[in-house]
Amino acid sequence: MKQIAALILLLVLPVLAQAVTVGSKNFGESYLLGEVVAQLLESEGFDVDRRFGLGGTLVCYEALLNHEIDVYVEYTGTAEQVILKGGDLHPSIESINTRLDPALSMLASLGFNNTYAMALKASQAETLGLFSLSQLAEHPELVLGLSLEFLNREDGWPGLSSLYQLPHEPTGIDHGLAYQAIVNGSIDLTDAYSTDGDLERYDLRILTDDRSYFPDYFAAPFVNNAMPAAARQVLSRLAGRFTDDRMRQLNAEVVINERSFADVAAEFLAEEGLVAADRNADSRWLAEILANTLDHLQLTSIALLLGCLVGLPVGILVYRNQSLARAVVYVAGLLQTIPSIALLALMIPLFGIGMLPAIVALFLYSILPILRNTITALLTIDPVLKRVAVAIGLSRSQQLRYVLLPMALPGIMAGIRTAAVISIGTATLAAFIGAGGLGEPIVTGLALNDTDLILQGALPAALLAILVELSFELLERKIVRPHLISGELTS
Amino acid sequence: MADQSPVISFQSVRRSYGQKVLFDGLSLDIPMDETTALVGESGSGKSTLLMMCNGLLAPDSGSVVVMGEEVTQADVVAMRRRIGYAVQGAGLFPHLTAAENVSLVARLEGWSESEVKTKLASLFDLVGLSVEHGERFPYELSGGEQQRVALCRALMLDPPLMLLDEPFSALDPLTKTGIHDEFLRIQSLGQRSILLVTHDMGEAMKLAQHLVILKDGKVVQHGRVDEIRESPQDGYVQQLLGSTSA
Repeated sequence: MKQIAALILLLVLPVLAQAVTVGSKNFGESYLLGEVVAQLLESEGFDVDRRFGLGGTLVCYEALLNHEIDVYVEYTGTAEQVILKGGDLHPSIESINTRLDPALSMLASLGFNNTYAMALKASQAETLGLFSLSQLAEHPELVLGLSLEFLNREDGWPGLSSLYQLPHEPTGIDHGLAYQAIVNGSIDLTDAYSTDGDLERYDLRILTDDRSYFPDYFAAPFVNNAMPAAARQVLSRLAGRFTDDRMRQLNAEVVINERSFADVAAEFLAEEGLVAADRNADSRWLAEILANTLDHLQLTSIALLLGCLVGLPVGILVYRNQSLARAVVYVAGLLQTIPSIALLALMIPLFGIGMLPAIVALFLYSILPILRNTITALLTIDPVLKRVAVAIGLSRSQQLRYVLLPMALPGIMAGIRTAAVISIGTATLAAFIGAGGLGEPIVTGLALNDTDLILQGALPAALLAILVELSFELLERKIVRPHLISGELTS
Repeated sequence: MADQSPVISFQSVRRSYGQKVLFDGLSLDIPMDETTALVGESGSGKSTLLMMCNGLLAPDSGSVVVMGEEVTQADVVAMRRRIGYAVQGAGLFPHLTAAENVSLVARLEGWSESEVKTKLASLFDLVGLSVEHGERFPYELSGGEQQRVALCRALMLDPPLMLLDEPFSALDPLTKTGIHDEFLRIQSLGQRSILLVTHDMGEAMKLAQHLVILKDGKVVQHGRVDEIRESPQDGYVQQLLGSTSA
C-alpha cells in the first residue's frame, strides 16, 4: 500500500512541480547564463526544460512572445535596438518595460555590462598609467588595430575618435587575430567585448568608457509574464550578482579551462550562496550522444513518414496529368529553395519552437524528392506495358498495385532514400529552434569554437546517414526483385 | 455461318489523330469464331482499329460493337477479361515471373491455386514450354519463349475473342514458323474469334480464314482468303499477294 502511494506520488510529483522553460542564444555567455538561471530554478524545485542555443535574438524573442520559453537572458542594448527599434544608448530597464509587449518583462539587471570596449595589455596599461578612454588621446604613439566592422560603423571608431578626440590612425585587422597581434606587439589596442573570456586568456585590460560613448548592454532575465510568480521571485535573487570582471572570469573558465557551462554555473551559484554546492558534473557524454541520436532519429523518421504519406499519394494522383504534375513539382521545388535556417525561422510564428516546427520543416523538405521520383518513376514505365496492363483487364487500382507501383518501386525508393539523407543533414540545424537532436552539440560547439563538441554531433549524424542508407538498401533487396535494379547487362 | 452475327462490328466509325482524319465513316464486320487478319502497311490504321475493339481508344463518332455490346457503354474491365490480348515484343511485366504474368488476372478473378496450376500446365504444354519456364523472369527467356508466354496470358481466361497486335513481327523466321504452328494448334482447340493485326501477307494467309486489307484508313478489300487470292480487287492487293509468292 505504501509502495503504491509512493508510486502515485512519483507520478504526480512532476505535475506538481511547476515547469519553467529556459532558453538561451547560441553563444557561450548566453549558454552559461541560461545554465545559471536553470540550475537556480531547479534548486528551488522547479521542473526546468532547457531550450538552449536558439538561433539569435529574433528566434529567442519570438519564442518568448509565443510562450514557448518562459525566460532567457537578454541585453538592454539589444532589447532597445533590435526588439524595440529605439535609439536610446543608455536605456533604463523601466524605460524598456514601458515599451515592451505587455506579455513580457525585463527583470532587474544581473549587474554586468557586456558592451564594446578598447583593450590593451594589462602590463602596458600599468606602465603607461592608462586606464580610461579620455587618457588615450595623450598616447598618440599607440597602434590601434580594429575589426573592420568597428572601424567602419558610425557608432564605432568614427564616433569614438571624435568624442574623445583621438589622433590615432587605426588599421583594420581580423578580430580573431587581434588578441594575438597585441600579445606579439604588432598592435597595442583593439576593440573587444567587455566580458570576453579571451581577455583573461591574453591578460588584457579594457579602458573605462568615462564619457559613456558605448551603448549599454546590461544583461537581465527577460521573461514572459505567464511564468510562475514564484520563479520570478527566485530569479530576482540574481540581480546585481555579476560584475564585468566576474562575468569575464566565468566566461574564461569555459573558453580557457574548457569546463562545461553546467559546471561553471554550479560553481558560481555555490560561491554566491544561492545553491548548495553538491553538484557533480561528470562526463555523461556517451549517454548524451545516444539521447541526441534518438531525438534526431525521431525527428527525421516522423518527417520522412509524413513526407511519404503526402508525397506518394500526391505523386500517384497527379502523374497522369502532365501540367498538374509539373505544377506540383514546381511548388515542392520552391519549398526546397528556401534556405533551411530561413524555413526553420518561418516555422516559429506558426508552430513555436521545439520538435513540432522542426518536423514540419523537415517534412516540407522531404516532399520534393519523394514526389519527383514517384512521378518520374511512374511516367517512365514502358508505354507498351502500361497499355497491356489496361488491355488484359486490370482496373485502375489493380494496374497501380500489380504493375505500375512494383515497376516504379526502385525509383520511388531512391526518392525516399534521398529525402532521408537530406532530412538527417538538415535536422542538425533544427537545434537552432530548440528541437534537440545531434544539432545540439554542433550548435553549442560552434558557439564555443569547440571542435570536440561539434564532432560529437557531426560524427553520429554522418554515421546515421550511412546506416539509414544501408538499411534502405537492405529493405530494397527485400522488396524489389534484383534484376530490376541490377547494373549488369542481360542478354 | 452467314446468319451468325459478327463478333466485332464497326459502325460509321470516325477517328482522327490531331488534324489528320484516319477513319471517316468506316463500317466493317469481323466474323464470329474465325481468324481474321487485318493487313496493311504501317500508318494504314490497323493498330488503331484494334485498340478501338477493347476501348484503349474511343472513336470520335460512330460505334464499335463487340460481342453484342457497345464498347463505350460496356463495363470495360469485365469486357477486356473476355478478350485475350497480345502485342509485338510480348509486353511481359518484368517484375513478374512467366507464370505470374500468365496467371495475374486469373488470380484476381478468384481462381484457386490448383485451378491456376492445372491451366498453366496445359497452356504451357500447348505452346511448347516446360513448367520450369514458368519460374523464369521475362529477361531470362528468349524472344520466342516470351511471345509464347504472352500467348498463354492471352488464353488464360479462355476468352471467346483474342486481339493480337503483330505478336510475331519481332521474331526471327525460324522461331516464327514454330510459333505459327502453335498458333494453328490454338485455333484447332475450339471455336474462338481472333483478330490478328499483321503487315506480313504471308503470315495472314497462313493463319487466317478472313482478310481485311487496309490502306490509308480505308478497307481496300475484305473477304475469305481464297476469294481474295483468286480475285484481288486492285493492283495494291495484287502487289501484297505478289510479295508472298516471291
